[in-house]
Amino acid sequence: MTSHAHVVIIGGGATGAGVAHDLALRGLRVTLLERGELTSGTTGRHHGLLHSGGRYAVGDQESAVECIRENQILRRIAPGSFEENGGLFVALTDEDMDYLNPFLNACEACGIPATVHRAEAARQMEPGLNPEVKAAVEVPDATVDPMRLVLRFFATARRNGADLRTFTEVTGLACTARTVSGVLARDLVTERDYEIAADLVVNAAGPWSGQIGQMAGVTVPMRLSPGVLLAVRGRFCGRVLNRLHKNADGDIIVPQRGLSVVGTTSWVVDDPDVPPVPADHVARMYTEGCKLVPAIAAAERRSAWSAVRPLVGGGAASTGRELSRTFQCFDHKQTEGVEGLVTITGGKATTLRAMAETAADVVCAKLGLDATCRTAGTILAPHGAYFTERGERYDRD
Amino acid sequence: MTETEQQAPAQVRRFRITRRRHGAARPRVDEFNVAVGPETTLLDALREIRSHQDRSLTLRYSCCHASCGTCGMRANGREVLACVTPLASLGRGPIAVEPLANARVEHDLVVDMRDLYESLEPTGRPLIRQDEQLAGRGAPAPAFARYEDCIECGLCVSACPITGSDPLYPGPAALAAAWRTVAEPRGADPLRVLAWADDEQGCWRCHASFECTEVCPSGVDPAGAVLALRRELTRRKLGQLTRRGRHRR
Amino acid sequence: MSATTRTPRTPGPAQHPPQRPLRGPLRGTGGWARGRHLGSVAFLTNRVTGLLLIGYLYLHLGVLYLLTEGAGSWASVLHLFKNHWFLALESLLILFILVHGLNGLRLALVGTGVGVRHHRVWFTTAMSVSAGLYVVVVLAMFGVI
Repeated sequence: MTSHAHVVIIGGGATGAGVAHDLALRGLRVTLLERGELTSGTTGRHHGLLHSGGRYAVGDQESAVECIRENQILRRIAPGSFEENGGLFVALTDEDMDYLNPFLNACEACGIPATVHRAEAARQMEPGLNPEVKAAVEVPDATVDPMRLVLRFFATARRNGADLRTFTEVTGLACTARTVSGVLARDLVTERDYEIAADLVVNAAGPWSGQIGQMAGVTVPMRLSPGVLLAVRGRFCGRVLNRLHKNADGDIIVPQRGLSVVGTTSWVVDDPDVPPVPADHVARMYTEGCKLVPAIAAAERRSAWSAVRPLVGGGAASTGRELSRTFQCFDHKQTEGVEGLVTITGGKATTLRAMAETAADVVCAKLGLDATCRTAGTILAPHGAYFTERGERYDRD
Repeated sequence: MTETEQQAPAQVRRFRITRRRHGAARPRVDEFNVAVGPETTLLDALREIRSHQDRSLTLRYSCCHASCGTCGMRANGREVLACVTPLASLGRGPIAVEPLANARVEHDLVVDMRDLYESLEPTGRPLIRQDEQLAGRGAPAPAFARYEDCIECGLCVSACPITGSDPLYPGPAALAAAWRTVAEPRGADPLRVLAWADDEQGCWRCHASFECTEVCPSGVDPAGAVLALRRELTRRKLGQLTRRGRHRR
Repeated sequence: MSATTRTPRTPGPAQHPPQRPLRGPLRGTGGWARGRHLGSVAFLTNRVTGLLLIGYLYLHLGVLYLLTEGAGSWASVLHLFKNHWFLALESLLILFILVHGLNGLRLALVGTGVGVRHHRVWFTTAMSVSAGLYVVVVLAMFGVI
């Protein structure tokens, strides 16, 4: 079903990628604007974990159910993009062992396959594990390359006609009579400003969603919560390792090629640009990481960085961990009477497809289009296609 | 900068960035001064310049930990990944920043990665680590899995003296990927890939300068891979010769 | 689009020529004279000595041609050969032959995948041997030994 409706998506991260792919697949004309390289915001910097949902099973069931469902869908539509190595939730103390049964029950309630392994078996599976491991629960976590998975969505979207414009910064929203009619953009390469008319604008700018919303005078209720991650040289585990306890800092280790990525922390900031990397957070990654894998203590640091989670929900939040990790779509006509603008934010990298489906459903409903989502059954193009199938944006010299 | 760095006395470093701008016949060099700390990386400094000094500075980055391979560039003439290059490792004077070599510069520090990805296509890359599980799939692994150590950053292609002077050489990254397929086929056809590499413009074109291995941020050792391809091809050729000899007798 | 292994469009590495800009031998920093590590030093050394040896070859042919001119011109050439500066240059020739030859031997082995891991050691050994033999040659040339 084709349509001449033109949707402009602001934000070239996982959210924008998912929405561009979904809408392009439904036959809409899509233009996406990203001020830097694709995934250069929060998306590229995340842990690289395809969640099984185990982490949220006890405290955030909604997120957990979303995660396991999307986990299975993504494996189907993006074959080869995951190190399908599984994950372990590792109990090291008696306190952790007390958490075992609630954890297993919660996983069952959420539909997350979970298998308990005794200490000996866990040590055999992961020789690098802390020898004091008491038990471990195997779940279908996986390692994902944050950028490359998302590039597959972009490549597929472009195959379906989406116009992806990188290094294009949004400087404003064209608003007349409480209706967003277009986007004011600045091409950072030619240094020219121009306006793009749109039937609808999707604000998928992650931590910058608030700033984009302000351009139309709307408020997006969100909290910016950065976290520090640490990558050390050496592949100390073959699977994702999680600590079997209530979510805390530094309790996940993800093997990424020849590196081990330990994360993460959580606090709240106001400014999404250039989040700091507190040295004590980095130190905490080492101390927490070596509880799971002792070798981490002496491992050489490859990089320490931070990324800002865009969490949905206003109000007071001291660490960000209190807020749900689920996503939300705001139709600003309903929230503040501004037509032509939809914001999709929150969520996790694992749920990018589901977020996009929700947003695309809202977009199509608003545009009066009858088009169903097909992303759950569409195999994605390879990430290399993003580079090999680019047209000429500027004249070649 | 980290919080501790923000408290520590800042040092000012000068950056001379070669920028090719749209419509300009020649690239120009822009100078920027940035206050940095002891742990500031090249990427930190460039992002600082972009955020607060010149928003038109375009550069690629994504993961900030040498995993995505997008922030490749040349600092003081040497290929590096900006996200893991501490400024402290770049001497004390002004830092010359240029885009990668042997790739078409699109603008500023952004190069066209198309050639790299096209060179990778014929190599039949299963490229899944030895210890990875392929849950329930016995069939040939998909060609675009990317869990080998190579992060497609293009530093090796930039450093290679042959790709610098020969347009037909596929480059170290592609040949390293080819070797991976030969060494561990996982359902792909190693003979086809060997035949692809066995070409005077293929693995035999390498002149063993080893620059690719020196600059590789992920320990792929592309030079070793190219020479391993040659060893394998030599072995097979010699094997064929001796077999033929035996037959004649 | 199904996720299967792709087959190459045509055999041979040059499916279609890449778009990358050609810098040529020494022009700009995209050329081949950039590398700083030992492998590049070896690579560069071999290219330079190779070119110099080719230059010498032409010189040598030129000198031999003089033989056709008769005994007189040959005698004056021989006189030139005994000049100390000329001897020094000739000793350099020996050095280039040693360097190019021994490094070439290294390349012949490394280039077929033999001893790749030790290529730096082989290079330093080759250069040390060249230097040592060069000293011996010079001493012999100037009659010291």
